Amino acid sequence: MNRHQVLGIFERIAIHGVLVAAALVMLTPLVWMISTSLKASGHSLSRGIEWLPWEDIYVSDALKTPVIVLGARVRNEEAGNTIEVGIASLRDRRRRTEVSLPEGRFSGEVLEYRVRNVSEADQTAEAFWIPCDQLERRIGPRWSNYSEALVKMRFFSLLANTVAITFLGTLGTVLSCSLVAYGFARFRFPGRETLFMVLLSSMMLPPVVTMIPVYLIFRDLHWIDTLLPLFAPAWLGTNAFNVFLFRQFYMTLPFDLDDAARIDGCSSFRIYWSILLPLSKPVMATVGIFSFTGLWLDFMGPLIYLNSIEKFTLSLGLYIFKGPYTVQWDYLMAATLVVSLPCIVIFFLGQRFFIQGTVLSGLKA
Amino acid sequence: MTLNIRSQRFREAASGYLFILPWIAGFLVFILGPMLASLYLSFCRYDPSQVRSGATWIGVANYVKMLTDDENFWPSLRVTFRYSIISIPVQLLAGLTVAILLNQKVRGQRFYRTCFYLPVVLGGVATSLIWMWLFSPSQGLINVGLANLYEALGRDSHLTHILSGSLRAVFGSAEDNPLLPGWTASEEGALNSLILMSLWGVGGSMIVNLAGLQAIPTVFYEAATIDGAGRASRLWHITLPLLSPTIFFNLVMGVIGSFQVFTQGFIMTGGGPKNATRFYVLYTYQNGFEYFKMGYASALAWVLFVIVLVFTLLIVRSSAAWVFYEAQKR
Repeated sequence: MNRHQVLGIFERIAIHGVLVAAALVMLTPLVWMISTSLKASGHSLSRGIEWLPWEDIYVSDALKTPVIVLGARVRNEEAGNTIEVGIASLRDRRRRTEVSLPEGRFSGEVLEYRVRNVSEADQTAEAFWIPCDQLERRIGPRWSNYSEALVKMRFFSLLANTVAITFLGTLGTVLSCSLVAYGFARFRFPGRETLFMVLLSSMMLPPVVTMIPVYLIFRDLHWIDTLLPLFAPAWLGTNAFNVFLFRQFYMTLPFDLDDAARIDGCSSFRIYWSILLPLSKPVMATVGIFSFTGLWLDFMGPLIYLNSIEKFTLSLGLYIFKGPYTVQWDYLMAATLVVSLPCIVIFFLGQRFFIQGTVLSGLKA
Repeated sequence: MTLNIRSQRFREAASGYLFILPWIAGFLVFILGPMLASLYLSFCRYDPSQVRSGATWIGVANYVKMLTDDENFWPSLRVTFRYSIISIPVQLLAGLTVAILLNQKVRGQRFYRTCFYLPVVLGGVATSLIWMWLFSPSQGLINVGLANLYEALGRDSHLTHILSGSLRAVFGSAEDNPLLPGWTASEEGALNSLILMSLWGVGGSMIVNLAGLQAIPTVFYEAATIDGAGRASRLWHITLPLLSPTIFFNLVMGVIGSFQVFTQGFIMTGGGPKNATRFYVLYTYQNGFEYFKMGYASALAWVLFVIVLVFTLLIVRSSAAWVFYEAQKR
């Protein structure tokens, strides 16, 4: 090996080192979300970071009850006294452990734990003391967090609304944008270039500028607190970027296709519907995926237009579920994961189209 | 014959208009009409919470009030500018760095790409909630991790002081612990915390950059290497010029996007603490839909529009100097 090759190997290692570190940073919040979602509430209060959903079990006679450890009575051998500390001060659940208090640290022996029953969701459930050797630990993911969180946030009613908006909006976007793009790509008419420029520049318009008058339009139509404002505009080809994607694709298809069909007596609409549209499946996938995730994740629209809880979408429901003050993180993380899951799945299934779309958005510059 | 051609042209044009009709209608009803309406409303008092009152023309009073008599206007503008001025360059640089590293034909490129892009598909609400949890000053992963780290280093050690001091200088101080940063709960640290969080979404610009990099023909690099160009010189004379259209696009999108930040401020901090994250669009939303001052909110929206327009035009103007298009070689 010459000097050059050695340098090359070092370089590879350095690049991978940086990338692995960065990828870990990217994934950590997701892993922590999953980890939190499987723990008992209140468990998150302990001081050490536990990635796996450990469970504290109180063993008395043959009965095993999951508990939350709140604190402990610890003997400080150096000082020769026994003190009560909160769980946040203990390093781990071993018998001999390190206790850190604001005044300093010491190593002590745990005599008793103060615990409460985990099954009682009520934070004020009565606490009791158990001897140190009656506490066991095991890995126990609390799947019930998911079912409980979903019931609490009225998941299925929110899901129905979200699915309706997403489905109707995506369908409208794909149909209307491809139709409009067909007009721009295949017909000559006065003002075509100007109109297309107008369409492109409308992408730059901050939605906040039109937010209030559009709200007033829907108010006068009595559409407030219905799902209509959230998907109806999509049927009018209002998403300029999607029109652009379809048009670029149609431009690459030979006109001979149209001419041949026209000679066979096809109408313009038939040419669009039976020839160009079926050919544009890759673009349909890209537009569909973008539209799906956009509508699924939309927050400001539902926030503005929906008032009653039966009409809420999932992203709005998540926000309400968070509540203004106290947050039950295990439930909230479980709900967040479930709500995000369709987008994650779609991303993995359609990664190619997803990335293609993002890339096309960049290359038009 | 000419008549025939003319009627054929006419029919083609008519079909064309017919096909783009949905967009024309949509554009008039949802874009152009509302734009003009909000311009008109911006010169009116319109507070529809008061029993369907109509809009009253008050001239430039909304704009005057904004500039002289609104204690929240300038702070929210300042917050938004600070967010943009820091987050845009940081995002650009991070997106570029990751893309360049990935483009070194590393093994597992697809895996890394997925890792970086995954957070982008979660959207604003989920991202905000996850990071609220991470940022929690007393129980959050970051502060619990830092507390453990400081203890391992020794609470009074030099290293702990440097680390904790510099983190708290940027991200504020936690209320109940003198060593830990306060993140979104502290007035000084909230905005910087949101900027840090925005880096989690770097995958979007990375993907665009990566595609731009892959479009650069390798012969350029081969030729440059034969001519003795080093790594830095190849980056400076080949990669960056050929990637400049992509960087330009990311810059424009970054400006448009960062001036419209809303969800994070609304969900995570509610604009607080003490207005530290009351972004401009958040303030506009509050005026329109919480205080129902729709005339005033329209004026705020138009000011934002003009600001974004001016910045976009400045960037487009400046692009002649630094964006390199192959088609127009000088």
